[in-house]
Amino acid sequence: MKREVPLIITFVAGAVMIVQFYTLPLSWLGDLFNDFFNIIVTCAYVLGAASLLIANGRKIQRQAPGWGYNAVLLLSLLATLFCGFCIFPQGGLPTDAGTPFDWIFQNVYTPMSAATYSLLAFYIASASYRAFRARSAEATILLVTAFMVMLFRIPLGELLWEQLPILHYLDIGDFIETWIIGGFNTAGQRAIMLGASVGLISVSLKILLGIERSYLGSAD
Amino acid sequence: MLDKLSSLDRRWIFLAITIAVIIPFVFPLGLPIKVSQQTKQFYECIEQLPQGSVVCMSFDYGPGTRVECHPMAQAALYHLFTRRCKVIALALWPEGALFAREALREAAKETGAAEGTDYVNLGYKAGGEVVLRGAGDDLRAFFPNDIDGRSWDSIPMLKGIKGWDTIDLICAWSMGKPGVLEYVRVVGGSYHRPIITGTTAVTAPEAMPLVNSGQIEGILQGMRGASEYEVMLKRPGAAARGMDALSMAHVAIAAFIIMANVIYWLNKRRDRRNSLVGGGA
Repeated sequence: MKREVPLIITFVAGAVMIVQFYTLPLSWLGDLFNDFFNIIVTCAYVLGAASLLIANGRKIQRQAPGWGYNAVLLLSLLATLFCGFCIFPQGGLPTDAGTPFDWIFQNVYTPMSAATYSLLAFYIASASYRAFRARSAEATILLVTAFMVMLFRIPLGELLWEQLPILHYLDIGDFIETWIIGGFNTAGQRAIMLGASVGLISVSLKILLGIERSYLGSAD
Repeated sequence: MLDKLSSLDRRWIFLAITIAVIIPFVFPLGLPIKVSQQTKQFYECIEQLPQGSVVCMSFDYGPGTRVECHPMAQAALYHLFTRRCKVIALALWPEGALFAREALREAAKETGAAEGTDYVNLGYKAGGEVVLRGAGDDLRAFFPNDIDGRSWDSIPMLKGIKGWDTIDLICAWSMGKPGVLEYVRVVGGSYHRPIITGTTAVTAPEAMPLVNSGQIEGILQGMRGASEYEVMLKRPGAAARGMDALSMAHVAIAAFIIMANVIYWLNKRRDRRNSLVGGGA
């Protein structure tokens, strides 16, 4: 029963959503299942927070390697939750400007996330230096294309291009936009999208029919 | 020397990128920004909207990509408010709702747009594509209050707004999933509403097939797209200011790629010569 019930729920939910999409009088069923979905998503947030507390709490208790990071994570979570639930003006909301929750968002979360993301530029530069080599014909095509897109889609690159003899007659920005991004890239992306969609349909059917069961976890 | 260069400590690369990014902020280059066809198309989509049109703006980005998406949102809000259009902001990303509030307030200060009559921020709703599908015929069912807790009925500009059919244009600032692809599937596919978008430079190639097929009517690609749009609006902002730094960083990375390949070929030639000499001996 432990496995059968989730399988039945999955099949019914999937089948109903497919049928209601093609049958207008049954669209109310789709709305009903959408409501179920939203309730489950909301519960999943609580479950996620609880899971975070348990998993990190255990590591801190065992003083596992790097447990200090887990402690920082938990403290941040609890402090943010506390600010969100408890400290805001009467009649106002925790997300109002000037509340401690808003302060954390504006001055801690936003700059730290931006800093983490911006580190990518440094790692991309380092990785390009080490890995981007014209080792074969295919690698050379990739390298030349990436190089052109990176260098000539910026104002400085366009300025440099305009200094080149003869070549400057070609509008490099337009060439990259029309041919490389609008042509080769779009063709490749379409192929990937179509392939991924067919794969998605196939996996979805396998899940609905109970052939693919890995999402249920281990048997015990 | 070649060996030393080919295994260059990455901290030198980091330092070079840092310097390349900082220099333009100290000594601005003021590089000219050319406007691309895609940006012109995006601009025209808003230009062609009649006065009083209702635009749904979806803020689906986080702090990491704020630097690319936020200037686009600010510029588009300025454009819409100066054309007397009304904006319904919502977010499929939790952080998006707060960025929406910030962008709306800044644009309102600049243009004199009023909350409740010219714009409303409906906030964040979890569920991604399911929210879009569920809100299809009745947005109020999913967004009964705005971000500040005001009920739907008490907001004047929402009178007459039902589902996606009553929205004139969808404008999605999108950095991933859920994002513009979900809007194309649900709102474009089932309700045939026009969609324009602004994406990060990294996610733009993913959206390009939909632009070429006409499912997305206009796109701003990354910070470059944002800066071009600012230039078209004659209102240079954060994106236009950032283009110098972006240019320098790109040139630095390009220089590193050239250097790495020259070293690679020199090494290869040296190895070939050594093996010939060794073979001859």
